[in-house]
Amino acid sequence: MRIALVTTARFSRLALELLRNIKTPTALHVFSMDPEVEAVAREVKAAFNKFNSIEELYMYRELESCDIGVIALDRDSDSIAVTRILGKMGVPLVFIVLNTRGNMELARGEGAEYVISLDEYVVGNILPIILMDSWVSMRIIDAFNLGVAVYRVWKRGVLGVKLGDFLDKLKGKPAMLMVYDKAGRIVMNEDHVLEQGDALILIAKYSELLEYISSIEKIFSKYEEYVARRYSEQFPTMPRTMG
Amino acid sequence: MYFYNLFKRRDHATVVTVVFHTMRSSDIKRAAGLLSKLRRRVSVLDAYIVYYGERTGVASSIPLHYPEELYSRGSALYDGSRLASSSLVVFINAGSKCFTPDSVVDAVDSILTGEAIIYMSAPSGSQGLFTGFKSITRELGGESTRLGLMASPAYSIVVTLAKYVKRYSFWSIEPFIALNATNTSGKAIRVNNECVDLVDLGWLEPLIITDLRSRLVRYLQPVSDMGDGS
Repeated sequence: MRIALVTTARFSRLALELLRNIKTPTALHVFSMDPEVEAVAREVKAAFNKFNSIEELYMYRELESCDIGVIALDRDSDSIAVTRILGKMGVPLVFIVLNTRGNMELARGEGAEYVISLDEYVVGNILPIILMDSWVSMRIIDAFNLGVAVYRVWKRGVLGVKLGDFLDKLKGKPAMLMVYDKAGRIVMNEDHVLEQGDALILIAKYSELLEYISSIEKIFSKYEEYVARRYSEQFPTMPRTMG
Repeated sequence: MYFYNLFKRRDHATVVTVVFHTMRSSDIKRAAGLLSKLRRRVSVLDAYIVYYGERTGVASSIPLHYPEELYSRGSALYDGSRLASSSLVVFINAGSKCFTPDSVVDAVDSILTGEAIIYMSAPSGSQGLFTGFKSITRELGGESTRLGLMASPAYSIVVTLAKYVKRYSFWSIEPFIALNATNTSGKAIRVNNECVDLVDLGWLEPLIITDLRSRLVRYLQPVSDMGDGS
């Protein structure tokens, strides 16, 4: 297998981590505009090529024999331009690391098979901790179209919903639901009653997450209705008089 | 006969990359209309919209690119030049009222015949930006003659070769290309200041002027003082 890595000094630690962990016999080619990256290439015994402009990559014939291309550059526009070049040079599988999720479609349009967006990870890691009673979803492995959605229970912790109610709804569907309770344990017991501070974790195909979330939401709203009705029957209210 | 007419309508066999840029999401839809008008006159290899506004997830029939630097027109135009497949790039402000296919054809002509390296049409910005830019060029002394034709640091229609887009400030690439171009030839800049796109820049205006001044000064510093001038 031959892997071409096009990167900058900013991603050199990521590059080193990736290349070190490839255990199968692999020919590695590192391309960079930054001379500092040569140290990384030497560390993993990869061939290093320095280029001054992106168009220069067309001159490296070894790219034509590469099976996999990994691109991680500082600017998304540069990464997308390199994707186009690798595609033209016949690299069959291209991974691209983007800063902005918005550029995903453009990268795919240029032939990137797998797109990893950094902002999605950052936002996806921060929001579930800050936001209460709302769903936060993110893609975890783009190649498998795998996604995870997290819901931190707060106000709805008083409803008395059981995990089993959701599991019944998701039965037979390719999705996994679990609770990360406030003590830091993963709970999959059907009889577990959701409490304030619990987090619901849903794992499924990223494209299907929304569908499962809406069926879970329906159960939540049904419970809200029960609770509202119970309270309204307990405390009869009088219509407001005119004037 | 139909195909003959189809080809006859186009003024150029040379293909260009068209880069629309905007900060307002409402202009994105407009860009598709401008592109179809332009396609009748110029052979377009590929087109992009670089959107440097804040709203994401905007639908567009033209591939949409979000630059990393928010509100930075300069970064957006720089990214557009990196994405271009053709060496000849047409930058168009998607919200411009001055856009006409004729002005683009005229610009492409002058680049192809070697008359100019950069063609700029329709100054864009606020009155404050125009005055600010004039004061910067005056401060630059001898360099002011090289930027003297320009009424604004930003133009709604810019045609140039992608390889000349090397530097940018927060808001513009034009003065840097113009300075580069005049190193090559004295007549390398063509400017059309007839139609003006007045835009209210609000709080961005002082930021744009300060940033442009510092970047231009840094760019024009002698190599011995500032390393490679970057």
